[in-house]
Amino acid sequence: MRAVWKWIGIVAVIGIAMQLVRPRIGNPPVTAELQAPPEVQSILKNSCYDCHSNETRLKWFDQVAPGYWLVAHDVKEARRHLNFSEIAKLPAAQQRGALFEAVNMIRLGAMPLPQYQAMHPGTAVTPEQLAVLEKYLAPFAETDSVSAAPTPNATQAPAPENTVRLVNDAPQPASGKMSIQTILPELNGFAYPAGWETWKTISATDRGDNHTLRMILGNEIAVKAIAEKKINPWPDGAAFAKVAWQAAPDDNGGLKPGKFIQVEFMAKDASRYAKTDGWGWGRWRGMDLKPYGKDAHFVEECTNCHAPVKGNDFVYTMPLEK
Amino acid sequence: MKREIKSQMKSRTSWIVAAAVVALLSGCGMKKPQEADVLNVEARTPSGLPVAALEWRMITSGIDRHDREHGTMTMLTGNDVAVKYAGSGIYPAGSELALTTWLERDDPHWFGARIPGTFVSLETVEVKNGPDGKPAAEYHRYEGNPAHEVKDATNANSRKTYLLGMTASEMP
Repeated sequence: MRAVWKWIGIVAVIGIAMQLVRPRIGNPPVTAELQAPPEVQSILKNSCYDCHSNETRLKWFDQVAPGYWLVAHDVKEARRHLNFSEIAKLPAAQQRGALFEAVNMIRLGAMPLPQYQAMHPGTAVTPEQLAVLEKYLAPFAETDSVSAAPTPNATQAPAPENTVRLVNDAPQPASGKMSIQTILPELNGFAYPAGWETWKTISATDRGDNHTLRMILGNEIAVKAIAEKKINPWPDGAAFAKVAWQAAPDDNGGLKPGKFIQVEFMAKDASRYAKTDGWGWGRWRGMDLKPYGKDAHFVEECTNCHAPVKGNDFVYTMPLEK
Repeated sequence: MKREIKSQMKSRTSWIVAAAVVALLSGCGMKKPQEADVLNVEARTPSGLPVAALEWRMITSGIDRHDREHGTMTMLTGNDVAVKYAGSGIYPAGSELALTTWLERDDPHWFGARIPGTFVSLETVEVKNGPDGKPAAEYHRYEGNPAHEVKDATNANSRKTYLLGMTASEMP
């Protein structure tokens, strides 16, 4: 009996001592809150603000260590990634991108964090609330200046005659390509996959959220895996290139790829890239192909965003069936 | 014909239901995603096409949103000769181009994105040396599942010019 009391005493002392270690959460001033309609804001306040704002409200049980340590860590990470109290200082396009990412994390069941939902009933985003957020974001809205263009019939708008000459033989056109030697590797050491231009198209996306058109290409191993339907998990050696262009108006009231924005890669090697979900990640921006990111930590952006599709081996793209 | 459309619609609906069920199950972490969740089965190109357009290299793509319910997405691919000369204003004999068109569908994995849905058509242009020794371009259009050629004399010429006039996407 005495031994039991002794142990209870020890646990109580440790428990109280743990309370003394309190990383600060605090609520810094709200400097640039998201501007959105009240119905949108109330959903975000109810489900996101405890972590993704400077208006964190802790329940009593959130404040008891060791749980408190986890809460403090989550709030710090959440604010660093997306802070609705400071988001309005970002450029409009970046704010829009952050909101789309947020809605997609909700849709994919990644947010609010399941452990947070379990401890805080009523914070789950309901389908009705999700519909409100989606309606607000309206990625393919009528007001889209490009798609609101006049409506000629594509088949009756031929290019001027003789703009293309058909010839028996022609000299090779000059290539404006950058020499591979001058393209730097990514900041995590991931090398630029030379020759990806010859990979095969496996899908394309029309991105209303950020007005880009994208093509997804796969290397030989990836294309073979698609044909054999062995893509979950993808085999080692499979790689994708996703190329993004600004969506630009074409001559028929539609959209075509305009300015080249970036090319990004995923390359599978379960052991080599074990620390980053089995994939190597890289992104090169602009016609001068500058490696993306400030330092090697850029890869966390990739893995965080792809985490919700873990069940698909971290791949968002659904390749066209062969 | 009507029955064919109906059965097509039926199979589409069942895919949507299947995808929804898969999404629900995977959301609960109970089951691994099914084929229709990782592979775009709906956008499969039909049998009966004369060329495997997606085996060729990509030249450019396009979006048409005039029909808001079903915008279309196109991909222009070409054989090695065509890829080399795409957008240069010259196509030598031996160039082959293919424009594949799909209806768009919402990307089940990303709100804000659309991806290829049901196949609509494949249009091809082939530059050949004619009997007079001068190169000429031949246009064909295929639709349906399985695919069959559709002769469309009124639009053939303008479509041929359109395909030949498409410029390659800007590449670094």
